[in-house]
Amino acid sequence: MRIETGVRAAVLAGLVMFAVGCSKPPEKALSDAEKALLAASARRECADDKYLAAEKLLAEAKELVEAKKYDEAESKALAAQKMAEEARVSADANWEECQKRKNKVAEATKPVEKDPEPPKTEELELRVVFFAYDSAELTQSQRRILENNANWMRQNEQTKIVLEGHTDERGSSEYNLALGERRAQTVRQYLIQLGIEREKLSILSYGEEMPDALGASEADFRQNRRVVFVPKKK
Amino acid sequence: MHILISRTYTTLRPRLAGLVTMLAIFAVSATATAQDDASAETAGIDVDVKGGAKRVLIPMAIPDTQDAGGSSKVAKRVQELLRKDMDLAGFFKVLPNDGLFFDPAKEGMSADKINFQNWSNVNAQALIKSSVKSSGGKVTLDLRLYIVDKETQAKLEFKATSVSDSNYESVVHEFSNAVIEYYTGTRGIFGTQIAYVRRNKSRLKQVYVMDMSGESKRAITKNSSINLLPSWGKGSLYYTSYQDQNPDLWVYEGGRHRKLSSRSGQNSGASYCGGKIALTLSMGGENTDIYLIDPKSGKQLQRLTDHWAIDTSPTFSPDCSKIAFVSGRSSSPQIYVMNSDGSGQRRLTYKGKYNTTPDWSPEGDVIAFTSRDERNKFDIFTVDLNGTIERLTQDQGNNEDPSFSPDGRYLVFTSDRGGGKKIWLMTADGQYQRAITKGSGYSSPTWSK
Repeated sequence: MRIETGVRAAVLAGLVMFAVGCSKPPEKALSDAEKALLAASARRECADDKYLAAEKLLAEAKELVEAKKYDEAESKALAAQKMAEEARVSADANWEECQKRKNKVAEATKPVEKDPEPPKTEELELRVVFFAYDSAELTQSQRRILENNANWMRQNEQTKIVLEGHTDERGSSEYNLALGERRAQTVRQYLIQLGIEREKLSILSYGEEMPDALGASEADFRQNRRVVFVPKKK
Repeated sequence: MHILISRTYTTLRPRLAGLVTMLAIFAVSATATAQDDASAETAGIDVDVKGGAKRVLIPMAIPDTQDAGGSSKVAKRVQELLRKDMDLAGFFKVLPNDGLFFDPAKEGMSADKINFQNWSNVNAQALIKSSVKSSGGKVTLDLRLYIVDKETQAKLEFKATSVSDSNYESVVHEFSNAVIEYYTGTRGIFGTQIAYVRRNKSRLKQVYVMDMSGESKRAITKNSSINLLPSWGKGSLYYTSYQDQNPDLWVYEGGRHRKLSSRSGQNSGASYCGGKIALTLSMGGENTDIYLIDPKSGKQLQRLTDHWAIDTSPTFSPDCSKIAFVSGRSSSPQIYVMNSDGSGQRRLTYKGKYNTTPDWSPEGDVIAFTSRDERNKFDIFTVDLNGTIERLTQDQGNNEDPSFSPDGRYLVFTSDRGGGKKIWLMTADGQYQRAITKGSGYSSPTWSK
């Protein structure tokens, strides 16, 4: 996310050069709003309409930035942030009730015991998360994967997970040990934000010591910069 | 370049005049101090070097070691060790033994039985004569250095005694060290130990120790796990091992292995100085910082860094007053230095986006480190406390993980030049470089201090 905002900021900075007199794009307000939305996203199902409203406000704020209406963009972004925070608070407030309701729905749609048809629930798999070189940041697409893995963990409530952090072979083995751990830690933080209990997540860095691909091409390196979800044996 | 030269110069004695660096500025001072040695105007052999500097090597003959009774095997081994040591020293060009127009085996050991004219004719300036005798499990070595143009035996700080046949190799190294002392004023360091890591076929890694010339390799760890990052303490060897499913710090001392720090997460990169260990700990993955722990109990003594970014790879200055380390706090890994109580943290390297693996020189003047350069190649550099940087390797594959010799005259490092990561040795000016291992899969060489 930081990278995307950075690029956007750079592009805008370029535009601002020509449009003298304009104030700067409200970078901070936008990023705060995005963060607030992210924090609320895990609970969106229990957050009534406020979450959707916050999403809409943020989108409008971004459009205003494109149109160089920075002041209006800023107030929209601030509103989006506020709305997202409210969404999170209200979701927390009626979390239990909401969960009960969801369970009821799930019960109702559950196939009866002797149904000859196999159950049609979606088969989730734990997937691997990948990273850029020398980075522990999560991109949008990797967050999607984590959301999938979080759902898997909800389906498999009893299972504890070891988050194994890995790096490619380039660079110092000790720094890579720290980087692998940093990656696993970033993943753990995000999963906690998504509502997974911290106690179910432990982390272990192997640095560059356990590559998945053994070659030395860019593609191999990409495959090795990863965090793997390993279910703990009981 | 200036620093490099002044460093080299301070370690020289007059006898070494003209031997090492022939940059104009140095050649002048060297000649001026050459008093007692006519060979100051050496007709040495130039080694290819960069940047206009030249290292001139003394041509040295080491004819076959004579077997004075019952020891042809030992004689062969002594010859092998002498040639290897003298070649690695970086001061000599060891001449080949084949194709001589005379038979050195017919010469005796003493000056009056040596035909110096013959040796002079093959351009030898130094001559090592050696002979061994062995009986009853004892080996007696006779090792001598002659100065060819003076036709005399050099007086060395070396006394050969009879030793058990399992111990004679160390005597040969002692002789080599005395030869280095004769030429440079500072004793050599042959026989000192280097710890390292090697990966095997099943992707496991074990810690090993060998001597400086790449001989006498022995495994320190023999578990079915990954073992990493060895470093030396006082009569002990630290390393990080996954044998208990966490990167814990272990110590090998007195022939036994003991777990010393097993905090959840990273326990690595121990640097020992004055009864303390600086160590990287991540405390369950919360943050990677540098701590001081007690070498006996493993108890935490002090937390030295507390930054959200990665802080790792501490290395003590020789007087234990400072610690250099790697930090990612400026968004890319860079070399930093601090006082050993954690105060006064400041950045040393500003060039390059990936600077890691600092190792403090025994003189305390520079810190060697690995840097990824603008072409994404890894090379070895030094930085002093003012931030002045010198490059030691270039255009020779990837070169990483430098570690200084106890006398500061050499560094070991890994290089993948020519394929396969091996351990290499170079002189501290980077001018003379030699592989000391064969094969591949080597990492983290670290010299006993």
